[in-house]
Amino acid sequence: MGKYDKDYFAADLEALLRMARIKLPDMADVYLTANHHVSDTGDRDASAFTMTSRVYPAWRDLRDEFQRILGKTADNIGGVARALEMVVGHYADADDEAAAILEESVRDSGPKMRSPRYDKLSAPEMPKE
Amino acid sequence: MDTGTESGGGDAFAARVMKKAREVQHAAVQSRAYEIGDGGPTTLDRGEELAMYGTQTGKVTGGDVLPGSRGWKGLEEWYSWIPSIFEPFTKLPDPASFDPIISSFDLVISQFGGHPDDPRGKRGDRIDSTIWGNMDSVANNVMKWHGRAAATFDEFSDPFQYIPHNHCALAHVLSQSTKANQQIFKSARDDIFAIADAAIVALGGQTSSGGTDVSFNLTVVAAVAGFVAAVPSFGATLPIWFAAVAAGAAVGAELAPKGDNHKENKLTANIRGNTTDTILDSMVDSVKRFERLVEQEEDKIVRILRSNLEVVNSKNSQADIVAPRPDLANLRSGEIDSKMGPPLGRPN
Repeated sequence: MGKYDKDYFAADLEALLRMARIKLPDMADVYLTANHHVSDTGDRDASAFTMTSRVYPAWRDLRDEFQRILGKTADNIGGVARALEMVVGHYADADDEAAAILEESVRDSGPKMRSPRYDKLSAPEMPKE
Repeated sequence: MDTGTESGGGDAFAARVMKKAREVQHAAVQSRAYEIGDGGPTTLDRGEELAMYGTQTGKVTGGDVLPGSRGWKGLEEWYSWIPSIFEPFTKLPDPASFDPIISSFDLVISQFGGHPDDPRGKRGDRIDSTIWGNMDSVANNVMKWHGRAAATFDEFSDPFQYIPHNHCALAHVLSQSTKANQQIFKSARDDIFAIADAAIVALGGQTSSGGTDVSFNLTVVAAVAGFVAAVPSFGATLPIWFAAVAAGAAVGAELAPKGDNHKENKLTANIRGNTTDTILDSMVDSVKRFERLVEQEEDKIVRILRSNLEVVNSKNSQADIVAPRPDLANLRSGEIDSKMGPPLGRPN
């Protein structure tokens, strides 16, 4: 693999890393925050709906399902970020030259690029059974 | 006139309801005392006679009943059931307690780039840029690589063109249904006072000959109309959601107000009668009717929520709601070379 290839390969790795550390965690954050907002309604519903509310059971079922959907989506996106982080590490470990170019590029990037974020994402909150 | 939406939490509202209920009781006592004192056409009910005079002759027809007298106190006891008619409404939820829940769903819509009053945005652009723009970029980079995890990534990424819109739609349905339920209780709080006030007016104005007829509005029947009309039309304008909420739209179309029938959304009711007891019977009928109306309004919300849940859980719409977990997300370290190989065909 010549120098030209190494540059291309390092750029491909950097692009994947950018997805793993910026784009995907940003999207996961949107879903996690939404998931937490929906979860918050679970702490507040008892003071609004009465025990005999006709609406509450149907409302709760749809709310709970929505919370699961948001949590599952966040989890899937976080899973992709974790996998891409692993893929980049795998190929960088096997190619010192590409790894060096990648390292330099990461060093010159913003703070979000300097360390993995997938493992810092909070866990989705699932409805209380 | 009192209304249920004056300031004050649950306890203050409950106290106002019971105060109003005692005012109705007092009006009934005054009205009946007047009838008896006027030597009205009917004899006293035996139970009433027992409460007033400790006898059960069935022949007592009149005589002055003055405030503070034994007969007056007997009438107060005779009509002591009146507050219990209103007591269940002291437990009507405080409408303000729904506000934090509505805010949470509005924050969800904002997370996706929508606005609570216009959750899709005029063209949904902001929702697209919040999620789809990023996911498209991820897909473009992943799919340069080869192997199964890369090649099948579009099965996960492509649905993000529309599923965030559906997530916004779900947040909107939940927010609007909460608002509709809140509106029911705002209206119900006003309506129970309207019934009591109408009863007081009727009891104060009745005569033994002409009777009385007091009309009032029950606004609870309009509480849900906006929700019923808005949610299906909102759903129908979404790119994918419209198919998913077809059932919901049908429910909405069935329940939504039509043309001039908007007038039916403010129901005029009456309390009428020509004696204290017929007026009170009419009041009790109004309270029962009001309870049924509240239940009917709540049931409209339930039907739309159930319809939406059915859609969300149906196999046909699952892919419109949750993108299937991609192979890539389950990738293990030993599989990387085969499932996520470097891009092919780079320049040499």
